[in-house]
Amino acid sequence: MWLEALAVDDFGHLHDWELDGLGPGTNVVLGPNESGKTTLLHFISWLLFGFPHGNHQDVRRYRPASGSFGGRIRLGQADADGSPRRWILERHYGEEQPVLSDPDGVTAAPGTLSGLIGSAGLELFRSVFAITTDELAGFETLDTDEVREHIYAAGVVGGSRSARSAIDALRARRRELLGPRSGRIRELHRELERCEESLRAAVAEARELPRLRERVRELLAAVRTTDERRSQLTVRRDHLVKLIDTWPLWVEARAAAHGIERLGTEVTLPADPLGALAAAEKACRGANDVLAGATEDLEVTEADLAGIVLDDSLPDLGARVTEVDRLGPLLDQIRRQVATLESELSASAAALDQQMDDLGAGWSTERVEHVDTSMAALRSTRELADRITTARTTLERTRNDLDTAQSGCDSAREQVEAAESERRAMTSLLGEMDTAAARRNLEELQSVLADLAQSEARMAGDARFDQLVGELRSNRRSPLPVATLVGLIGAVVLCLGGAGIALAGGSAPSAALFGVVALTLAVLAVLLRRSDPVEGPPGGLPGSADSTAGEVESLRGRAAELAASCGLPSRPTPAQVLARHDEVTRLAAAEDALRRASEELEAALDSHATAEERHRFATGDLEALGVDWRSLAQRIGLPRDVPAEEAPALLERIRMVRGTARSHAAKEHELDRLLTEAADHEDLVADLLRSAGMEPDGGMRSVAALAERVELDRRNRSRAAELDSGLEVLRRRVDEASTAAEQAAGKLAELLAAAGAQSPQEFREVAEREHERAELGEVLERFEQQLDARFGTAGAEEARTELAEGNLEDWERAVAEIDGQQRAAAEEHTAAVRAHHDAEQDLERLEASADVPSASLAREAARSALEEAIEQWTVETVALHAMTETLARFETERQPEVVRWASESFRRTTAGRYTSVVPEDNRIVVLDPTGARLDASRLSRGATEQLYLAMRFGLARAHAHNTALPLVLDDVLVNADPDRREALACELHAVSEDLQVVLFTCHPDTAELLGANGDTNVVAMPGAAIGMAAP
Amino acid sequence: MLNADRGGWVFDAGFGVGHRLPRGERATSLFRFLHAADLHLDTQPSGLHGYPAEVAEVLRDASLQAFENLVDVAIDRQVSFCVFAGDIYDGAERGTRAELAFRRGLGRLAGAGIRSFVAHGNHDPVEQGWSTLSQWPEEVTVFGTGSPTTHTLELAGTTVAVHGVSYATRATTDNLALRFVRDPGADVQIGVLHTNVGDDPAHGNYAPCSLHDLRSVGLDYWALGHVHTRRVLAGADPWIVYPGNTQGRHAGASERGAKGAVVVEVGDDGTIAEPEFVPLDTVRFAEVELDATDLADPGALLDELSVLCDALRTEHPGRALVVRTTLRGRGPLHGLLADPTTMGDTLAELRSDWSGRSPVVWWDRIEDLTRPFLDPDEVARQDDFAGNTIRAIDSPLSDPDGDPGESLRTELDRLSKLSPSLRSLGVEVPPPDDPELVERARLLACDLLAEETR
Repeated sequence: MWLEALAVDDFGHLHDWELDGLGPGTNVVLGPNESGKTTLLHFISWLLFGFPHGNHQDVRRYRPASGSFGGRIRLGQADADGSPRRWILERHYGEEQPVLSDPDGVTAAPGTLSGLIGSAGLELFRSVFAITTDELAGFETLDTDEVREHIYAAGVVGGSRSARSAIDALRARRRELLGPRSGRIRELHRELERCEESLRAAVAEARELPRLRERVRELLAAVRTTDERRSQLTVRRDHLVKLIDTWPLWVEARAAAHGIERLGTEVTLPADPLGALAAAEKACRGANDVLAGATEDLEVTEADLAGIVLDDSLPDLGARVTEVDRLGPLLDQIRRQVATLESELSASAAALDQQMDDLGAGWSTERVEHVDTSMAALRSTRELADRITTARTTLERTRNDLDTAQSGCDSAREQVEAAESERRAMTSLLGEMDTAAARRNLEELQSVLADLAQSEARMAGDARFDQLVGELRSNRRSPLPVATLVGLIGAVVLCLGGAGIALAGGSAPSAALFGVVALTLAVLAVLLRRSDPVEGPPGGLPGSADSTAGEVESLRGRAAELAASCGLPSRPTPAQVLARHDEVTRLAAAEDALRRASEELEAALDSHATAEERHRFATGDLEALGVDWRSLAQRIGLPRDVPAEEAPALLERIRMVRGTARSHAAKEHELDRLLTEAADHEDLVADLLRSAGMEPDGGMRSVAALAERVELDRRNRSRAAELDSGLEVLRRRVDEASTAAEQAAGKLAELLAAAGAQSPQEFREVAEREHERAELGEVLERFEQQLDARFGTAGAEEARTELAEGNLEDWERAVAEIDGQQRAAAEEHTAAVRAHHDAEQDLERLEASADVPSASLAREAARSALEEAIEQWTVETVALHAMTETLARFETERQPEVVRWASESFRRTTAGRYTSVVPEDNRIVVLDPTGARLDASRLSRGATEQLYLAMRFGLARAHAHNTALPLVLDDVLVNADPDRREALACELHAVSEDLQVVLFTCHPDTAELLGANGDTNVVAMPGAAIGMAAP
Repeated sequence: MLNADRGGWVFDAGFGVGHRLPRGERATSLFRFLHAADLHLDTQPSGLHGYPAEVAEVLRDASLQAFENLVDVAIDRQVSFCVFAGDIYDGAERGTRAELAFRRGLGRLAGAGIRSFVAHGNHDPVEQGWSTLSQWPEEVTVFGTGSPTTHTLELAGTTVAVHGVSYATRATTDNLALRFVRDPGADVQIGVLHTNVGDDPAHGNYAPCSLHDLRSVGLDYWALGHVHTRRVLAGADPWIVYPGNTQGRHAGASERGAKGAVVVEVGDDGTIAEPEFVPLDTVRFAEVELDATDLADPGALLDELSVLCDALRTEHPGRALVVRTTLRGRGPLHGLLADPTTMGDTLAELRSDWSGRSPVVWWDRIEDLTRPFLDPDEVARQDDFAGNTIRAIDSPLSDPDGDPGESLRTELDRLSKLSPSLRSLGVEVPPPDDPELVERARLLACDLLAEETR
């Protein structure tokens, strides 16, 4: 199968693009860099074997933004009888199946494409039948081992990814999973083993749990029993101890009962009879002391009040004096402010004068106040000033434009005049004419004159020929026809004789034959005689001579006609025609110049008119703005003659003057106010002094003295009021103390009477007897309380009986016995608690270690992880096994033939410098003529590439037995020196005996080198059809 | 709370499953009972690893918690009795924790006046293994072995007969269904049996029987156990029902989705309404499939999976999720995930993103079934190194030299040198010609050899 033509609809930067002219054998496709050679390599690959998936990076690279991604390939195929057969394969991206049809459009039978491309797929084509410059360029970046591996792989698996590197990668991954002594599988295996053991232990321990739980329950019951026994002993002992403790109280209570009986009848006294007696006596003494003190205070106060002297004229002046006295500091402050204001007024008056001077003549503060200096007025003024400035600039520009247009008009007029002058000069020489027609006529005249000269020369030649023909005819005599005629006659005679003899011999057929021959010869003789040269008509070729003469006449007529139209003689010389053609050309040029100048003048006049119009408009605008400004100035109170551009600054100054004037007036007003206030204060002082009967001229010093007098009077009055008030209080105290003394004496008398005593001493004796009775009663009460507290209400009566009937010594003996029993019970209980505690701890430990679910979960997790790792290892092992087996098989079955091809090819390419290529321990070595071995990785860069190509050529030829795809190469000869390139070209020709070779190159010399072989198709890439899009 | 059935629509707010029941039949309901099977109490989920402690805790207690949910539902729905159709425990050894939990649950049911009928199956045969318990609450009936026994109940004037039988040993292959006999004096008849109906090859063939065998007995409802997928083999006359197991046990197809029991309503005329499924599981196994064709990198994958996981959590509210994702399609992600490191890092990142959630979310694994750009089948048709390698993988145990896979077997035998043996540890080693494994090897070889796959 071979490629014949490519037709790209849309692919990368190629659009509606075709390449034709390929054939079986060697093909060179010549195209410049970036013309799309690599793109075509992909195009061929994908058209033959299908597009990769849409997300593939190359598809994204070559897929056009729009259009039909794909195209057609015309394929050739040799039939069984060797005759070629053609197919058209069409494939577009997104279509499930390609379309294969013959050139007539008849779709091929199913399976035809498979028959064409064999069992090959895209990967096989890429790795075996396509060689790119990238593969060769890659040698630059490879280290020694990688070069060795690439060369070796080139002869086994082709140019795809290295099988050995894939095998190495797989081995490394497997080692990570399962190495000789390490790896994830071994780790997980150990982990699973540990988990298994933990689970077994947990299950075994879990069986112990119920027994241990029962043991814990039994020990807990034992603890409770011993605890109960201990409690019973404690209760009995506590009861005995309480009886023993209560015994002294019981003895004391019995004595108290006897004492109460001895004291006799009880008398009712206050709770604290001696305290009550002391308090009553003390109350009597206290009331008498208070009465004496109050009487003395009353007398002292009445004496103080009588000693105070008051001035009744001063209280009315008090408030006014205080108020006037406070005016002193205020008056001083007003005087300081007045001085400051007077100074500021002086300064602001000077500033105002200066600002008025700055405004210029004719301005006064009143006039300033009438100017509108509002922000609106200022903004309007600024806008109008800007517009006037702009209008002035525009007016200036239009004036310049007008001047320019005027000078343009002048220049155009001068050009028109110059052109007109030139035209007039030429017209005076040539007259008025259609210069275009004249030039055409002159050019035709030149042609006619040339034809005329040729015709006349031909006519002269014809005349000479006729003359020679005439001479020839007159001299011609030929003896050959006569001899021939004699010979023929003799032959006729002989034949007739033969016929007679045959007839005489009885052979009629022979006689007839001789007769026929004689007759034929006779006819021939007659014909020869008739065709013998005779004198022809004079003149040789009369028809030709006549036509030449006619043509000459016609040309002469036409020449005369054309010459006349151009003002030339009827048969002008070529020089005359040429001179006239130049003159006509000058006239035409003058007319053109005149026309252009006229057009330019017209354009200049238009520009002038436009500029004039604009100037006029600008002038009008400026005048209108002037009117507006004057109107505005009048409205805001400015003089009409103030230029608008100066108006904003003037308004600013006026605003400043007005501000200064207003500030000055405000200060003056403040000064007046302060002076008035000071005068009012001074009037108040004078009035006050007069009211107090003092000289009004004393001023504030007199006011201060008056204030001191008023203050002294105020304090005296206050003291008198205070003493007067105290006098009333003291009188009430004397009355109350007298009443209290009487009441205290009454209470003391009542207390003595209640106890039946006549005196306080007698009362004290009665009180002591009742106190003793109460103490004895408390002893009895305390005993009852202790009995209730110790034995409870329910047990108190029983305890009282036991105390009345019991014996202290017996109880103490019983307690000693119980103490012994308690110690034994405590030891027993402690032992039970300890045993229970230990058992519980054992149980906790067992429950923790017997956590079967957790152990089971951990075991399951470890098992799952191990199974996953084993699965992955098995997958990698199967893949690795398949790769190594396949590689071994390739090395055994395929490599020898490939290496044989490569060996011959490399020997020829290197002109015998290396004689052989040999595989050896997964590498390739080359031998030189002496038999020395050299590793492929030690070769020079060029030789490495050539060895690589030799291996690839060999692999392609080996595959060609089963799959004869085209070998497509992308400029692979570029790095070879001239000799080796030539040798490689020969190798390609040799390869092309087995399969089609298509070499894309951008080097014309490569194309030339391969094209030197007459059978090579050299096809230039049709660059004109390449789209403009960058690749 | 679990389920509040008050007629008409039954909606489980906690579990997100609702079923419409015939309103008319519910209105004349006489009593109801709960049918559960295959509790496998205290069994641990399998096939998972690498999870943190908080996930382990949830997984460990999942089966017990599902049983607690069952008891809650039975009490809340006021069922008259519960039937348990075998495989209460996962192994003959039962386990103390499992037995105590089961006893505690049955005790709660008894306390609520609910009787329980328990049959043992192939996982917990009566006469094998070891049990810590010898006594059960009075309201609990454990069926004996050999021939089925019958227990009758009087419920609202209706006599209900519950027939059942337990496995004596694990290897019970007799057709026990044929031993059941209808009680002529009962109004409603229920059979409790652990069996493989129809000799389903997907399940252990214990006590096998046919649908005809079951129908021929003349009972009204067959409460079956053994098959973990919920199935109704016959609807009415009689009802033949597998409720499925109460808690999923691994990420396999039969264990995914909602798991629970069925509540069966019996009308006053003795008719039985369609059993209502009530989900009980606390950990749900889920799988999401994702077309990774347009995903450019692992980051995009994580984003997509997060969206899917959010949807899963909405679909299964209130439950811990164990999620496995399967990636399909043909895109650039295939080449990236072919690197084990990238795959491991991506899964770790995914787990990290979803850690600390409540309820727990655990990403079990990313099953990468994406395809390379170049189809391995196409590569296999080529006569180059890659094609020959793929063909060699397709039949790993055949060898053109007449030594069928000997070298591969030798290589694989390295696993057998591990001590103790993998078999004794319960680890299954896949055969090298396992179809799934072969496919993975093909993809691996394609990734390593074929240029166009990138």
